[in-house]
Amino acid sequence: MSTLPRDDIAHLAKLARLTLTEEQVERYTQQFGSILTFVETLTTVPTDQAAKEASKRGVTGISNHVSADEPRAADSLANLDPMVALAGAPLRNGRFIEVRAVLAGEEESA
Amino acid sequence: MSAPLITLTIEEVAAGLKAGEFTSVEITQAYLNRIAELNPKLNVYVNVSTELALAQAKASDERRAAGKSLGVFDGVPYNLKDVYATTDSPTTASSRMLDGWVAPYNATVYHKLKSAGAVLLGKTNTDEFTMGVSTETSWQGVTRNPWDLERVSGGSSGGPAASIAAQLATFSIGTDTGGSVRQPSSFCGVTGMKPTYGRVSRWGELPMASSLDQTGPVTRTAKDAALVFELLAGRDELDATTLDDKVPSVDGMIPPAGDKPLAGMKVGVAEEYFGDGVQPGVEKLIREAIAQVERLGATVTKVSLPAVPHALAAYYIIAPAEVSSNMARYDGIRFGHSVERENSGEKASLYDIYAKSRAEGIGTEVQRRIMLGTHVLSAGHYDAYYRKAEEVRQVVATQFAEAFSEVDVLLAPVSPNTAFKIGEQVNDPVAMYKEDVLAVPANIGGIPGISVPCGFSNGLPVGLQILAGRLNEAALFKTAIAYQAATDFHKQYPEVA
Repeated sequence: MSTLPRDDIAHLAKLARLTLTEEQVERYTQQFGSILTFVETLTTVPTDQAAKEASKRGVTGISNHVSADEPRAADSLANLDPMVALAGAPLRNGRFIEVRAVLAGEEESA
Repeated sequence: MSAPLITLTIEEVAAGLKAGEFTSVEITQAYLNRIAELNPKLNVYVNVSTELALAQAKASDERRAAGKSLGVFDGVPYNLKDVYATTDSPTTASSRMLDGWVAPYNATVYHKLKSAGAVLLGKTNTDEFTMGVSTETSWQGVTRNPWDLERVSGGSSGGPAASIAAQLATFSIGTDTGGSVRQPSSFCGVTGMKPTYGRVSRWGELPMASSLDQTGPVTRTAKDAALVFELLAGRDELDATTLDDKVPSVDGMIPPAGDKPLAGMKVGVAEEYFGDGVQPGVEKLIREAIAQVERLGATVTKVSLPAVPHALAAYYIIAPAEVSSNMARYDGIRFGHSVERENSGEKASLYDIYAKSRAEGIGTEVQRRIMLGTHVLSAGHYDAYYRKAEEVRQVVATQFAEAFSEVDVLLAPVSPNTAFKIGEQVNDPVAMYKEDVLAVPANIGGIPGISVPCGFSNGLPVGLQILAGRLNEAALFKTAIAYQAATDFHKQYPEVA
């Protein structure tokens, strides 16, 4: 059975920006083992060169549409008043979102 | 019309409103009364927008009186799964992260329904951020199955499916990333459909896995589902992945009259959908449904889809990878739950604001998937997991395309099981994931699928899954409409006392 060491789970939590308790790290360590064992069954599925090449183009058959470089229509659902867009932020300063010091925080936790 | 208002289909409501047999306010109030009575027992709605619904219903009645009805949907009450952004009611994804959040803009899906005059009753329960198969990961608690209150309603669109089974709306809108419309529809004995990937705009639909997410209707009949599909599908400038292809009209999906409405239609059956783990009671009903479709004139042939059993493992790499990216927006800085709200003044690093807000606001299943996605995308694991999963996805899609060059539709179970007991599997994530083993291949292949009720096993509903090739929703709806014309499983409703 595949597994990840406890330290790896703790590291993943840090990368994923999740402050976990010891108990959560323990539980996720156990569950990751069974999940990884399950998804690793994929290694037994033969995938030929055609599939390898085609997968790079994507199976949805969709390419992104690029909008014309013009202002949106006045009634577009995407038009947002900046103050409405900012209304959900816990710390604001006028038309800006305020955040804690970036560098000090990163040094502590990187 | 003598049937109670809460039992009517979209078509019947439209006809009743047009004939002046009742008003939109009356049917809206009938649903609001029933929601007030049953929601404490079932936990279907996470918020009921009573004032908004009555205002929309009143406006609809006034339009109609003035001879300006907007058509079939004008005045018809419905609900949205709690993942569509609306400016006039909260959207929470059934997560603590968005508790009480009101979006600053409207989803295209809501905009289209509003513009067609439909009446929004409220938002219905989902697994947190749509991640789950039973609504047990919802921060608002589980939605009980109207057929057996000790059982789950399925998920993640358990609220939408239960709302139709318990007659708490005329129709509902859900999302299907890996079976999330079809599986709960199967568990609750209602009709639920997932269109081809890219048919319906995802603008304003809170994302889970963007290459898989697709909006679909939950309804009383396949014809109703086709009407909703026709309304919602189509290119949207605000979703770069919506398709330009012409949306088929409902008129072209109606099977001809007579006892062989499916004459000339080729139906495929793949034994890969009947492997180990499919309950005998479920398999029996699906085989009977296939025989019924054959009696309606279709030719049944065997097809081979050897990669289909592996779609689920590919899904549990691709979906968490996209989840880990999509969920990064919930950072405690711009909107949603934030420790900063209680914390102002105290010293904290930016990292702590991120990580503590996310740890508090995001529940266990979502955390697990974010971490799994972070793992499979990390340097050194990317090729072994993510690239391999994308290749398997391509093989699945190719095999579907080959199968649909021979047949018009495939028939299969939606789920190996009927609704399971609440709490039965909560500590076993892999067992939970396997509930979607027969539903996920359609998402991995990007093809459309529908669940239609095909009988009861030990008193619990079972859904027949009808799958079609990319963009061929018309064949899927034609088969489903003909099947429902010949059967009455979709007309049976539970007694919810």
